[in-house]
Amino acid sequence: MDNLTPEYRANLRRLKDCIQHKHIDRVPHFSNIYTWKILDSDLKPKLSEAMSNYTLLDKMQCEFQERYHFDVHFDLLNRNLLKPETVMGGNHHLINDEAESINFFDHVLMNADEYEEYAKDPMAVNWKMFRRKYPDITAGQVAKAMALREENIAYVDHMKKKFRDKYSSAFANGRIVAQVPYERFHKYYRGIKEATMDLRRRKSVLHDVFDSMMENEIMPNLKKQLETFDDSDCMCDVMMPFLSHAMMNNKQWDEFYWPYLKPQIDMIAEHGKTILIYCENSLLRFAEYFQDYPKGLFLIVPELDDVRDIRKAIPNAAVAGGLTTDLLGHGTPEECVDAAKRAIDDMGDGFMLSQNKMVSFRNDCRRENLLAVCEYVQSYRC
Amino acid sequence: MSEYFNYDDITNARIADIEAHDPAILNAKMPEDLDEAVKLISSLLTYMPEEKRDAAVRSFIAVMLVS
Repeated sequence: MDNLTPEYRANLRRLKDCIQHKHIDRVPHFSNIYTWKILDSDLKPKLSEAMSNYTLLDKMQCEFQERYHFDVHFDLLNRNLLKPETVMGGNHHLINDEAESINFFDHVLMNADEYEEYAKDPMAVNWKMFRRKYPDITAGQVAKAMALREENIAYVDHMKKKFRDKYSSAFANGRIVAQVPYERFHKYYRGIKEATMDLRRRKSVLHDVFDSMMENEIMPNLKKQLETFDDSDCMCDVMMPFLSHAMMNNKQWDEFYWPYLKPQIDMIAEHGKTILIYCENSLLRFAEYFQDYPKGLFLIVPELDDVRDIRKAIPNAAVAGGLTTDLLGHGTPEECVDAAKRAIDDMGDGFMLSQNKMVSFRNDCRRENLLAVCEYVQSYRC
Repeated sequence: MSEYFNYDDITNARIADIEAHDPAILNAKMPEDLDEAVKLISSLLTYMPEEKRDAAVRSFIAVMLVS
């Protein structure tokens, strides 16, 4: 923290104060913008060209910042660094230049009868899944992919430092990503369809494997990371993506989500750290579970919930949002500025202006709309 | 030096180091046994300190499942 510029310190202070619900001089502007940055760039590369050229990604991310001047970013064009997957000859992403989209396929890597083995020896099952994900791979391909993954890590470090030092603009969260065990099976190991059926058909074994993961991996790792990582130069310390809750009914949440989430939240709170909750779909059904935590612990980025409803339901949480991709992509600049103004006026302290979805597709946003909003929020004084 | 990210020199040197190994090892298919696979891949990572290789391979296997 000693090497931070005065400008960066001031920006970081504003962001952290906002999460603490302190009154600040202006509303922070938080970029939840992803692949749209490539489509908006005047360099006009094809998506596939951009995704395989990290120098180009850097240029486009800088071009974006120099045009819009965001205070904080969820993504520095580091979300889909696919070189390692590409060299291994297969992945679950499809880059479609014609449709200008990157799609992630739902997939099944783990068999239903491997839960018990995963509880006892996760690495052995990891290896089985790896061989299914990358069949026929050679030792040389794996070694080269490892070298390329180190390039990915270097890219992220380079971009965080550059945005901090050159633009005084922050990265949203530190290195710790905390999730309940089920998220891993839902998105990556069992696929959405199979994992959802497992909640009904394999309750007992799911508890066994989740309990084992919590005891042997998740809680010890979280404790170690909370005690050793210093990411105080980021806006929040910990990122918690909520994805699979959307597929659960309230009873399943009570059984498979909350009992594994609460100990992690409690431990993070005990360490005095902050949590950025990125919530796909809606959180309102589960709002009551978050109401008793102190102010200043959570910053919630809701996808479908209106920020005002989140504020009413979880008044102790700071909230980011207020602009929908529907409006940014199809409204006029005046309509977008009006929506930003209304959200800022309605929300008061503990609010950052942001977008409700990961802005990815061309029609998610129009340049003139985003420029108008940026000009408004940067000149607005509370 | 450009202000934009360019890691080509480092990555290319590491890949050249890997490719300098015996083609029989480079082209070896992955064995079913994890320990054997880790040993095989680690033997190609000579650009990395020896004591870090095995852990790096195991970590890479886990990370690539959630990417």
